[in-house]
Amino acid sequence: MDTIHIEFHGKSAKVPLKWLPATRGEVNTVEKTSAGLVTPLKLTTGVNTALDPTALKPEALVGADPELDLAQAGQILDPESLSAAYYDPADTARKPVSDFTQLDLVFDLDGQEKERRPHLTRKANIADVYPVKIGKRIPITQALTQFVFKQSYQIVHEDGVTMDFLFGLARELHEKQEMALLGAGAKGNQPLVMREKGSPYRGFLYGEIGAGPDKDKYKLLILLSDQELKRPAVAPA
Amino acid sequence: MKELKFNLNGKTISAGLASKVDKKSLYGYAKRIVEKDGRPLARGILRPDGHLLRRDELTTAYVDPQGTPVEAVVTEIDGKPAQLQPSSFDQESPLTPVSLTTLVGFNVTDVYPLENVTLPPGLYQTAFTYRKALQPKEAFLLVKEGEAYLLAGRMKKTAFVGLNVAYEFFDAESEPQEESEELDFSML
Repeated sequence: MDTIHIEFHGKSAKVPLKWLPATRGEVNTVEKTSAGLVTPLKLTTGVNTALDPTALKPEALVGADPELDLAQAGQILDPESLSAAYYDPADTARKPVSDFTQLDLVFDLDGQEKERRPHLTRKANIADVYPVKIGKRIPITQALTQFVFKQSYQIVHEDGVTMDFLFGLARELHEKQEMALLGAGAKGNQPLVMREKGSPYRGFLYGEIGAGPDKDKYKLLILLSDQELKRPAVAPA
Repeated sequence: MKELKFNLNGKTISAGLASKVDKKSLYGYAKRIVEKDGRPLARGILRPDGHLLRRDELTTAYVDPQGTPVEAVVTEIDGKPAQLQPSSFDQESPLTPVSLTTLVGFNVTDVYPLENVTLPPGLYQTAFTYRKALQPKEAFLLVKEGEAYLLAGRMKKTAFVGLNVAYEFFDAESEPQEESEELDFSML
């Protein structure tokens, strides 16, 4: 994800999309003792998985430690050599299962399952054959107080022509003090997916024209939101 | 509800912090499951010898170069012992009124509704940490008519850009746009 294909006034361009640095640097912490740096190590716990803990009687735990399998405890594992696998919890031999199906269970606000569907793997759609389209305009103050923006990127140009294109877009938004809703897909009404297997976001375009030493310069940002700024609905008593 | 205290121009202002609001609490959520022939499967960790571990059979230990820390572990920042900052509930956090557009480029990670806020509508810059932390998060109080929120997150740096370099540019067919319906935020 380093390019966006965007359309404005019937023209489109593929232009670079930049990650933004944080204004405040990361806190670089190290944990150490006098012997040196402390590092994480993957270990086996030695939990006795052949046992059903709910079937244990108190006297069994008082007299011995059946919940532990000490021969299996403390083995150091190389994270690089481990991989994820699925198994049937009812299978005591615990063999990896292949040819499984991945599903998405969708739950409503009350935690009730409302949909069961094949697992959805989203494809990035911002540098697609269909350009990202500029849709509905919203006053800046309304957008900033109505939505929770979780990610931001800056669009930049690569030559004079794309600069004119992006500058014009930024100027229009700046002069009208509006933000524009962005939409992907053939109809330009789909949420933006910034990367493969990524989450969908509503994209908003923010434009600003510089003043003083920044005269003739522009700023064009994509702000992403997947949440409105509001409280959860209160369930009726 | 826990109480937060802020300081605006030397005056102490209190507000109640309600539970965090996330996407799940507004729209529900989607959970991925794996099954075969209608039976749900569990996720485990496969070792190179073919042995499959349950997730509770694996843990992480933090050790020093000699195998295990026998003395207290010290956290350092830039070579100096790090000091934990108090929780925002244990101190007054300064408030600075800022323009609403300061929110542009602020990546929100946490949203908390605030109760009993006596500030006039606007945006106020502050810092917030629920628990003791090495560095509080950057935060804003967004006060609207009748409601207020604390937004914690990370401010990103943006820049004005001027004339530059060379690149491709082409015309595209303009398609008739459908009037979009109500914005759907339940993209699960």
